[in-house]
Amino acid sequence: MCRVDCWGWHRRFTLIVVVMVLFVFPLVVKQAFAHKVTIFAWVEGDTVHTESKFSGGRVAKQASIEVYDRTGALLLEGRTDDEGRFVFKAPKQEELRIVLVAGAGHRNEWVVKAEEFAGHVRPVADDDTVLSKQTEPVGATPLPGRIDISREDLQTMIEAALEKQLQPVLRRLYQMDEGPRLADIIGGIGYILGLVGLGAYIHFRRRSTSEDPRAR
Amino acid sequence: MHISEGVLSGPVLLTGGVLTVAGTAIGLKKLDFERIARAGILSSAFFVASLIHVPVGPSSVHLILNGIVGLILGWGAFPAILVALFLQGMLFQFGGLTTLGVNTLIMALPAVVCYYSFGPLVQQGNRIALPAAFACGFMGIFLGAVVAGAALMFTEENFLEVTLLMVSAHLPVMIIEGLMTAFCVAFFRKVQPDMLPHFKAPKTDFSCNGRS
Repeated sequence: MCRVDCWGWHRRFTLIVVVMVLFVFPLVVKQAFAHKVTIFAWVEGDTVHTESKFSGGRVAKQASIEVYDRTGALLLEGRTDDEGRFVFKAPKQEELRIVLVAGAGHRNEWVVKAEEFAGHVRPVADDDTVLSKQTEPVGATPLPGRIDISREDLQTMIEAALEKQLQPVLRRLYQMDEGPRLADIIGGIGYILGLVGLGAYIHFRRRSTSEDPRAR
Repeated sequence: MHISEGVLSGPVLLTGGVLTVAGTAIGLKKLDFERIARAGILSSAFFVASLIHVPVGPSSVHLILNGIVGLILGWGAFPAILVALFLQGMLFQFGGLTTLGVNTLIMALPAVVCYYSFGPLVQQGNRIALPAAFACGFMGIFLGAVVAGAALMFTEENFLEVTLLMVSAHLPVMIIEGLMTAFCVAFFRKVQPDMLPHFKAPKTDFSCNGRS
């Protein structure tokens, strides 16, 4: 009787400790994200800016950067500064693959799409003609104070403005990528417990078929 | 300690994969029913431990716990770590599918080495057991850094330099894990000595001081 009580208390204590370690600790430790490195790049005019950091928010200092084009040819190489940034003038205004090598097995990449370059000539879509007809009716006399600009210029201006406005948002989005969420953590633990259950099931099945054939 | 995808060359990945498959096969064979639940709990602990991270110098390192996992599970560390790393790769994007074999080897091989080198010592008196437990936690990471250095040698070309970098980056974690392992072993010795390897059941019931 006493024996059962003693072990019961100890076991409960062990269980509490295990639960603490498994579930509570990662929640208390705020900076609880592991070893992954990420790179983010955005385009301003013909310049490409990049930012690199480890998950957990630390920047990747003095990490080497390699820029490849679509065919995989190395265009240029460089190193991030002490704030994890690396800026370069795009040698070609087309798809660029920017690879970050942060040493000791850490590597990631970011692809800059050709469309992100403002100077990239976009094929004129069919519905653009509708827009132009509506905005510039044939034979209309220019209103006083109105500035005539071509559609291409307008498009470039809008894109430049959008680029300027969206960069902070995109960067903020990148910074919000804070690694694993609670659902992922609990889900992973759940998978492992499921595997334990599977192991137990196989064990008991095997034992019940091999040990006592008469019972079946 | 998680090597990202696209860093290692094909032969290194293949070698890591083959060795991990072999280790996992041995581990599964040795996992008897009593140890399955234990392996599951340690696998979960390992899975979560990577999220507890210590900012050090230019980068950051995280707990790995492979010393204590190896000490308790022996060869069972292979399947336990493989499962945890697979889930980390899938859910957190740490490491990756192609590097799963190499990453498992990096963390599970030292675990097994620790089991054989320190397992017999932790049942000795406190004076031997606790330093042995510290060394177990410490060496688990140290050897992991050495194996990682060996894997990276073929791409980063300088074994000594890479290994030194890995070891120095993980030095704080080695000390933290050494202390943690020592605490865990001290706790298990008091509460559940059969968790530790090479346990021989005492003849008398020591838990209730003969009151029963």
